[in-house]
Amino acid sequence: MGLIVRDAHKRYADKTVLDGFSLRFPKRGIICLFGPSGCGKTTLLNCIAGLEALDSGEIARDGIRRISYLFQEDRLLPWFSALKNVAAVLPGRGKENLHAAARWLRRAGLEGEDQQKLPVQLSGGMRRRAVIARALAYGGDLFLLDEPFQALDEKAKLREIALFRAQAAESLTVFITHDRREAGLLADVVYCLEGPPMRIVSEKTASH
Amino acid sequence: MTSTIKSKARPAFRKFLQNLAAAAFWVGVWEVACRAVGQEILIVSPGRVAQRLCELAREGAFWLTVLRSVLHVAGGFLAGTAAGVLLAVPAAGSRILYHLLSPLVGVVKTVPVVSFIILALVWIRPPHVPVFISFLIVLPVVWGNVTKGIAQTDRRLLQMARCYRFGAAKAVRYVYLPSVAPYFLAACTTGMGLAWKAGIAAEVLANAELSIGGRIYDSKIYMETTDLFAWTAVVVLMSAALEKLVLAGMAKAKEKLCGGGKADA
Repeated sequence: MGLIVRDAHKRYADKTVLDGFSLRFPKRGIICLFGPSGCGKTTLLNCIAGLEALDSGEIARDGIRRISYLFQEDRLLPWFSALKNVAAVLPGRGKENLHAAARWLRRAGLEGEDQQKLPVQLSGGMRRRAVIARALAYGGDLFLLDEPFQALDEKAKLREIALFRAQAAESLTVFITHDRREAGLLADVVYCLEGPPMRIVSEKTASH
Repeated sequence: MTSTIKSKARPAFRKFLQNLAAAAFWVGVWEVACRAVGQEILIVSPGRVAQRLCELAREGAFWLTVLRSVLHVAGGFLAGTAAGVLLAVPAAGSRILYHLLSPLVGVVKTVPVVSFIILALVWIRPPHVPVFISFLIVLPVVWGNVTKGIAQTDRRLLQMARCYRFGAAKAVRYVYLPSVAPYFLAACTTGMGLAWKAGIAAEVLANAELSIGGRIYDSKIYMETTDLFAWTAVVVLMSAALEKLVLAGMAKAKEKLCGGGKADA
């Protein structure tokens, strides 16, 4: 299993975001892409997820069958409760499915009546917990997390970081953040980036 | 539990009272206008119309007449709604088809309904004209709204659905249907009113037997203004009743689609 970005080029109307960008990711662990807004991090994640196509270059996803993407925005279905939003990504239907969704929400810190609320009735932090529960419930070989802990308080942030660290041994996680502390707490390797076009300035390995 | 029922029932009861008060106000205006004119051949009093309605309701033919008109309008409405949805889905996905259908729908919207009725009387048998006209009037309204609803579906939610591998059926049920529902509902309420207007007009011009339009035509021939008002009131009441039925059905469908997400855990 491996994720390799080779000579990626991506250009929007007025700017070149990726100009021959290459990066070989490890098979497992948590990789942080740390860099300023607009340098091309989200574009790279979208291309890895297959939501956007590269102009040229290649993204090899050997052995990666399932990708769980935690978007920068919540992207919760506004007409469903937090519980049904998580249940929606699980296979099958019915009570079993809802029970599993409820368990994931509890782990992410959303409990009781809050699980039955619509996204609009939840606070920003609660919505983020629902989104984290959805990504973890779906699971996968590759987790793409785009600023996953925004709107979370310090205690909740540590709780969610622990959840992602727990599954780091079994899968590869690529996450974007602007927070140095988050990067240090969660990542095994931090790539400091600049751009556009995006380029790697430095690489730091963390020890947990 | 009691407090929940109370809190839900109160606004509904208040709304009912508000509607009742508004209706009473306009009936009062009607009564004043009737007294000011003072000629029953021009404007009939609400009391006289109610009395005539009661007389008509005691006749067996009245219910058969109402039933036939309901079947005409409801048949045309349902067919128009189904065709509108079936044409909107491919049109939302294909620019060519959208641009091909747009002028046709525009023409149907702008051509006076009487032109269609007269043409339809030449093309098809008169008893089928009201159904066809209701169908023709509803179709563009539903087509336009559903096409717009599909186009307005949040692309970011569709991306999310794609990422989490919803599949076509799940994406339709979880993303498209709830997104399009408000547009479809608006089309249904507008379409229902238009279907009654156009359907009854077609019945009048086709002089359809045992139909509300046929009775309105008779009232014109025999200068029976009271009957004209009474049958018009029947149209208003039936239109409101059918609209409520459609809305209740849609609310139930929405409940089935979005509700029921409680785990006992």
